[in-house]
Amino acid sequence: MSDTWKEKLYEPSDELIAVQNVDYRGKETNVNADELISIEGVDLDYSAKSGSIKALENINFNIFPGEFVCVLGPSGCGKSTLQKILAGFIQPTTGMVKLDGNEIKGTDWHRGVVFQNPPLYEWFSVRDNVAFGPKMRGVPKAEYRRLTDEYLEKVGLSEFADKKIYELSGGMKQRVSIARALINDPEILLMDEPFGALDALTRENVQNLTRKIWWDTGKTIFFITHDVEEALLLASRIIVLSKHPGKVIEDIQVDFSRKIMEDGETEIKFTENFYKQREKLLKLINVQ
Amino acid sequence: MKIRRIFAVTISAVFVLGLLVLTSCGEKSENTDENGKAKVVNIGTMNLVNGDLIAQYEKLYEKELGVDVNIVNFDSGKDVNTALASGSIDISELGSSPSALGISNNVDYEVFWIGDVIGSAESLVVKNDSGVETVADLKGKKIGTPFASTAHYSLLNALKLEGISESDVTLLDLQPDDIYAAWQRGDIDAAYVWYPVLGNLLKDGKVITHSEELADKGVITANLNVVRTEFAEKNPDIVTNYVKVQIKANDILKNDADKAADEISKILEISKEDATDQITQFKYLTSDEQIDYLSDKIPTTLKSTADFLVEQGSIKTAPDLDVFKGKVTTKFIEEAVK
Amino acid sequence: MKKISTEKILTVMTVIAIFMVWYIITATGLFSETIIPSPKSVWESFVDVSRNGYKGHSLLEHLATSMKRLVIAYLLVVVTAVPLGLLSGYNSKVRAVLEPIVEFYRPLPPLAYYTILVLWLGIDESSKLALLYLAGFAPVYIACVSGVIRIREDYINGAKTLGASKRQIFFYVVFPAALPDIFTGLRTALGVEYTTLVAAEMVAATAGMGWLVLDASNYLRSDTVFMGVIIMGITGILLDRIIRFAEKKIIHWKGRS
Repeated sequence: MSDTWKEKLYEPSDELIAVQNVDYRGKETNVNADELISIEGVDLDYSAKSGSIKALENINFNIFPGEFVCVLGPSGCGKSTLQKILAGFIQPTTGMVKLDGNEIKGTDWHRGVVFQNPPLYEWFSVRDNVAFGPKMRGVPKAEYRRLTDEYLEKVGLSEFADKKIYELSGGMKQRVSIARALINDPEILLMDEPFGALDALTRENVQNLTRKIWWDTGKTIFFITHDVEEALLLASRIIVLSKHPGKVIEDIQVDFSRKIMEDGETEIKFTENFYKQREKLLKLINVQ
Repeated sequence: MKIRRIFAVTISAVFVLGLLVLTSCGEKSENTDENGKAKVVNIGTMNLVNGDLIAQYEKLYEKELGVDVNIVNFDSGKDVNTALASGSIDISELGSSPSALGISNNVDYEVFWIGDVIGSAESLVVKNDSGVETVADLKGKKIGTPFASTAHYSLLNALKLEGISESDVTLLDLQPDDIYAAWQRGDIDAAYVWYPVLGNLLKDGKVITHSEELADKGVITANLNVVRTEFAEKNPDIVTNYVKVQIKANDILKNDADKAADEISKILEISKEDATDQITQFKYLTSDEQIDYLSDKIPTTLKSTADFLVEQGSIKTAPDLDVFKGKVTTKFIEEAVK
Repeated sequence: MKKISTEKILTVMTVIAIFMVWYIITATGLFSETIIPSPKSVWESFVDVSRNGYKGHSLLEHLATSMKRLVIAYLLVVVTAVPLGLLSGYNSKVRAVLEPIVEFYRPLPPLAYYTILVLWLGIDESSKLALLYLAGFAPVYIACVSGVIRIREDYINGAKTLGASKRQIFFYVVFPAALPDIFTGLRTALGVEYTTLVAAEMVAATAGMGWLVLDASNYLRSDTVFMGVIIMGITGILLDRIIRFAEKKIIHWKGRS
């Protein structure tokens, strides 16, 4: 894959730019034939004792190849629900989600998932956990062994390949989880608050790893978080959802992540621009 | 230091436990008055077809014993022994085999009355189509009987009298209900058992020998009435009254068979014909016969039963005949007929 | 040298204390040997039965007979209750068929339906095995069902996103994830089968530890009864240890995540 997607996505700019391909009434204004995922008029109702509760209302946006989309929102805004719909765990009440133009109707390996609390299989070693996907899909043994080593290397766990899961720290577990999802070479990686439970140092570590993987592989990533700073440091695009029911209230492109990768800017958090954008997003979330 | 403390705790626990056990033994006092006389008598019954059933039906115990009566039902002589050993009951009927067992095991009770001598009420039956005509034909067959019962004792003796050793047949320990099930399925060829199961087996089976025949050959089985020695010492009049009740009931059994059959059929919920039939299959003894049996035949039977059990490996040792004689008493009958 | 834990000392002390109480009570002579045989006579009974056997069979034969019944019934439970239980947990239709049956007979005392089993299967081994089998089936089945139901949804969802088929999920995810529960069920089943053993050997047995105890109690041989009960208790603990050992080896991750 060429590097053109990087150029296409980032116009040099210091200001937040609202993406113009969707308006908030749900009409597509700029149809782009190249979208990887299109979310069209998605509503989701939960049935509860007091009748049905709307978790998501009229969600419309597209995700383009190579984007790192962070979905920000207060807790209970339905952002995890949106992720579950993308993964195919649940079906939207109305509307539909398409991958490469085909409606997503169930769960399959084309969308890799990294869970908040990684459901690693304790009965397998680290290596077998990573190899799980290709092995299940019938990839020849020699091939999936090579892949396993490659992906273990990618997440920096080569030395831990034969450890038991319970011997790993929280950060390592999440890295295994990422390798396990990536090894299938899915079209998009869905990550649901993957680093929420980690301590600050480990967190920064896996954030850097995730960013590097995104930059090196050009993988499309859909990342749920409630942490504004995390979103700014990782995303190429940030979507903000409102509380009860979840609606898209902001959709912007950011380039801190790219700057970190391109220019090696390590102190970007302390720039005025970063600070301003953080405040702006925080206000958006807290105002609700 | 730590170990010493643990040790101390353990030791105190031992003593508390020990105390609990000891105090719980002294609790029986509730049922006796200040002189140690019983206020309540606990009577065990196996609902055997004899005077006991008449007494129960006519409420003679309640009327004649002069104390409160509590009647407890048992299915097997083994349970009667256990209940007597633990002091849960004071007086009960049970078969001669379990009696011999109890006495051999130092359960402290004495025999003071013979409820009945078992006649054809306990029989060895074979299936009509089994081809077995005599006891001698039983070689290689499967025979069911409740172990440790009078029937078991009779069966083993019947085999022994024919020179058949236990290893020539397969003996199966089956309770009467299970005998019926095994019989119907054809799992057993023969059974030594009593009513009501005996009646069911006779529908497609025939008797090849029974306890009356064996009694003629010297193998007596009987149902005996026993009293805990401690209870008898403290409450001789209750025991004497109990004997009076039995005599009264036996009178009805012997002289008014129709009335007796009627009462027994009602209490056992069987037909009157069956009751009449069963009454004839036991021998009920007069007071004189009782004294006669108790002073000779019964101690001898108990002794030979115990010896037999030793031979069988069921108990370690059998006491001497004198011990059994000491455990059989005629004094309550003598007192009752005065 | 390894330090002996306080708990171990307490356990040993308890055993010693029980023996002391036993000894003291029998030494007072307050109770006849029929009610509480002395440790000495129980030991003598053990020596006697080990040397001369009991009613035509050696002690080892009695033990082996019971163990054979137990092990056969247990293996039958393992090969049937585990797959059926897992399947019932995985597939609600299978559960709808099997669960009411298990729920119905599970609380019944074994003796209540033993007579029926004897009527159907006869007085030989098959009815005894059936009784033990039924006693062991329910706890394993129920543990397997709940083991599957309790599996984190993410385990299964995760496997789906990695491309596993339903079959693969069952064998690579559901089965291992339910293993801790399966083992809990297996341990319970062993205990239940063990308690049922005496009942199973009540009808027409001629050997076996349960029968030995019952027969000895028929003849008021409390020393032999005590001996039999103690041997059964010890073998019970040993059997449980074996399963716990296997559990530790197989479920190496248990209690560590």
